Amino acid sequence: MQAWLDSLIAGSELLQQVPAGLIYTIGILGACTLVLLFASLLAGEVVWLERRVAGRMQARIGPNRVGPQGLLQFLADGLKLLGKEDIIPATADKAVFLMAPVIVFMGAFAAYCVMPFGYGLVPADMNLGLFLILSITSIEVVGVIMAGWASNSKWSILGAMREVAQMVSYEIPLGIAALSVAILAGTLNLTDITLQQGGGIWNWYVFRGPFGFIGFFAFFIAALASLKRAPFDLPEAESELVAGFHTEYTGFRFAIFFLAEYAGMILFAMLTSVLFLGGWYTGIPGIELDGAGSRWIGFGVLFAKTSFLLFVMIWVRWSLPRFRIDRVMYLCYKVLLPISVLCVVGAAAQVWLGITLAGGTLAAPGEGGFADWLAGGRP
Amino acid sequence: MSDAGHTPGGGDVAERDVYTGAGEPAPSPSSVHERQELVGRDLRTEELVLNIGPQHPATHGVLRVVIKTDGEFVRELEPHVGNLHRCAEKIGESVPYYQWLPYVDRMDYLAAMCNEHVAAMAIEKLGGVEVPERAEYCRVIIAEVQRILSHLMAIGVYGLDLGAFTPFLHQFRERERGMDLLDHISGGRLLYHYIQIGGVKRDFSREWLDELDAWLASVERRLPEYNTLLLNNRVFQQRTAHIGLINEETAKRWGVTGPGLRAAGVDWDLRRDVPYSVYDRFEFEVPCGESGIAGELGDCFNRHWIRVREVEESLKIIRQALAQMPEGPTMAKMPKSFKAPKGEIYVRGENPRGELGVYIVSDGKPTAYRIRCRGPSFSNIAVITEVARGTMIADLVALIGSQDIVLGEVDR
Amino acid sequence: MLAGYLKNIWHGVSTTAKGMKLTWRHFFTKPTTIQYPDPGEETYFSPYERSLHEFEPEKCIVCFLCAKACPVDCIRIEDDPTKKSKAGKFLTVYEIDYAKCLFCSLCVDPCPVDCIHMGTQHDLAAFQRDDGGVKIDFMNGEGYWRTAETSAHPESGLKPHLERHGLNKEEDE
Repeated sequence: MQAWLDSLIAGSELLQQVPAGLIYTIGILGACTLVLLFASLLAGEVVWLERRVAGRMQARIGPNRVGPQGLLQFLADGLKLLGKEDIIPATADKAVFLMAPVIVFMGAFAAYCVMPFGYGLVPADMNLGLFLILSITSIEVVGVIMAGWASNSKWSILGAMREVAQMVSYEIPLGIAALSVAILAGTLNLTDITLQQGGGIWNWYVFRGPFGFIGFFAFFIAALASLKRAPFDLPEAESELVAGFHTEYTGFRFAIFFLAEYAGMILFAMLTSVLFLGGWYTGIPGIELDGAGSRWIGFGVLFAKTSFLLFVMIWVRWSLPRFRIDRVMYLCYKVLLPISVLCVVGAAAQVWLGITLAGGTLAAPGEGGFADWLAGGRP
Repeated sequence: MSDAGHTPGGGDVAERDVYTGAGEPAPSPSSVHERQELVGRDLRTEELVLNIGPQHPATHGVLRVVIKTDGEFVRELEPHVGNLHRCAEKIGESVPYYQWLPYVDRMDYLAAMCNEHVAAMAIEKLGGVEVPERAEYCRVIIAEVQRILSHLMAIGVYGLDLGAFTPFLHQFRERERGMDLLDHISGGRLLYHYIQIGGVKRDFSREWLDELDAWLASVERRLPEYNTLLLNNRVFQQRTAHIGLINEETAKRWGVTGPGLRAAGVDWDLRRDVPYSVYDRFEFEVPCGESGIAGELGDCFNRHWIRVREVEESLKIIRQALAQMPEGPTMAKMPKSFKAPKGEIYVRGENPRGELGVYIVSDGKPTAYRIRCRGPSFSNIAVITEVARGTMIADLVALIGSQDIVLGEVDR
Repeated sequence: MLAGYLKNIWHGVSTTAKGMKLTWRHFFTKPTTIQYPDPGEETYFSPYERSLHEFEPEKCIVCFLCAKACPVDCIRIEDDPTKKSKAGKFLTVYEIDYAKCLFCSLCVDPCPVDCIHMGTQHDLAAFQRDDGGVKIDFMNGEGYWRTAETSAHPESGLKPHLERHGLNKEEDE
């Protein structure tokens, strides 16, 4: 994005008189606002998608009254939640209580800044993009503990502890499975990872060898668990029996937690698409969506892949009963962790042996990154 | 069962609930206690007293369960019932018999026809009323339809308790159609007032019977779908197999009846062993608990599986009854003012949840002297006081759901 | 042991996949929802539906049999002994307290002139408890209305009815 701003400044005399730092700041703020708005809107619409898809799978119609086909349902929900009384428990730790939703929200929304929406359509093109996403989403854990503790209620703290245990445990296979892609790509830069998946559907990391394939499923399941979704929602639904960490939150504070959950869903669906399913590439060889106009088509392609993965997330949720907490932990440490470690080792072996599959390109030594390091290049 | 003056969740948990490991015998062996004994007598641990309140999203009703947990495991459990008490028995002492019948519906509101059946039988036996044969067949068909509806609800709601939201809505599809059937014949969808003293209110019409056939076919076709989502699902099996074991001795001691008793291995079904109405004319199997399908005798999985099997058996009974049904009147000739002679009677019937018993004492007036109903859910929920010790909280939910209680019946 | 472990994983994955296949199939079937009828829409009712009563006051002979048959004593009947009507006694108040009514239809059978039935109107919503949503009152003489008018319509209900017919001075409990 900096390149675009520079080109703007270069092309306009008026802007050249303004200090560059100011333009950059305004640009960044503008981009962040845009991303925030977009993510919030999208989160609201995913709520609609979930309720409609869930309804159809359950032989019923979902919400269809508010707006055409019920698309404005989230507005109605938002208005309702805004209108509720803001109750803060008298014995709650007020500062921590008020901060917790903000932190959870931040953990879910800040990570959008490094997501490549299209060729060059990334608010902040960071070389550590993947790492940044995984670490920002870990901040949610802190918010959850804060919420549970500050509510000063037995059920809240119990629910929060369980949630935290689950989220933290599943970050291990999540990170390791993402690491296998990083090894195959040789870089943590999400734009570069996507660029290497161009040129045909067989270049997508999910099809590039067995370790990408298994890594895809491991990553997806670990993401589901990390989001407290699908069959792993025991802390928040059994705690539905006894309330959970966000029991004492009413009105819009609850809406923030709710939005953060759906924004996290979208984030991980997008991340999975970027890492494994080719990002903005259509998979048809010859169509490289990197022009000034076609990059927005690439955005549409990424959006379509994200929607598909969201649909799968919703589909899984409404098809399975909940796991018990000890089975959740079993699944993490005894099933997903060995599988993801296997993926990493296999990916590293694949790179080391220089095996490129089906005409795709692996990061060749000399391009920097892990492959370079393996070959003895500079760290 | 309920302790007056017991205030769970109070601020003085530590003071009241300290378990020092010394002197007090452990209520049931569990590794937690053994570990504490080993570590030291003066290791203080605090039990957490939690209240699974009368309002909770699980649809069993207003049941309040106070549990003392040790981390994840339940050490003691106390159900507090009575939140739905509506004095049905006391009302039986103030209104005539035929006016009391609408109240019977409301006890087990998910299986209202079966309640009516047993209550009407009790009043008729006491009063010496002869019910015409066609009415008996009508009653059996309706009661079995109601049994299917009740079990469908139990199957779906159990999935809901465990987090599988979809079978809950799928079963409503069949249940709604069945309730439309009962609505068509009686005018109500949940509370019918159809079985009256001396017979049934209305006869079946030809189109009602055709609609019944179509519905039975659809239930039969769709039943395997619930199994795909629940019984055969590995996650469900992990949540319910070997959980919540109620063995035969415990079941008999606490008076558990219905699927809970049969899951424990006791082959007892009132319709076959103490036949009432015209049940002795039908051939049907009584599913009993088995070890080895996925669980063991007396666990939640077996109870669920038995309910699914009982739906199949009810389908058989209905079809046989439809084939055998004779023509005739559907209501006996009843006197203007029905008086039961002096005496008492206890009649029991096999409700979907267990054995419903109605005990009536009459002193010759049009109003009973005393009516007492034995609701099966009362014993079914009492047994968890013993069985739930040592289970995890998530398993507690599975256990309560598998007992399939209806608070209207517990509290009457 | 490894074989058991892998078999477990395979069992979990395969049963999940079967369940997902079922829900996928359901996604494409027609939903069974019947939407709540908008005002004026027709909806299905059973022929013996037991909802709000329909009462024909001109037939009523004030025999009190329905009030006696009611298990919860929710029917209040009053007559004016000084007047006579076509059917017999002169009915002044016929009130069913819907806060108590069980909808059991025990009042329907004893009626010798068949003037009370259970109807199909089920919408008892009102903004205030005394505003026609709970009690239905009927006044014979100058004017009466059928219970089918009782709804959340602001023109229906007891108070507007009394005003319409200039009967405000009658107070009922």
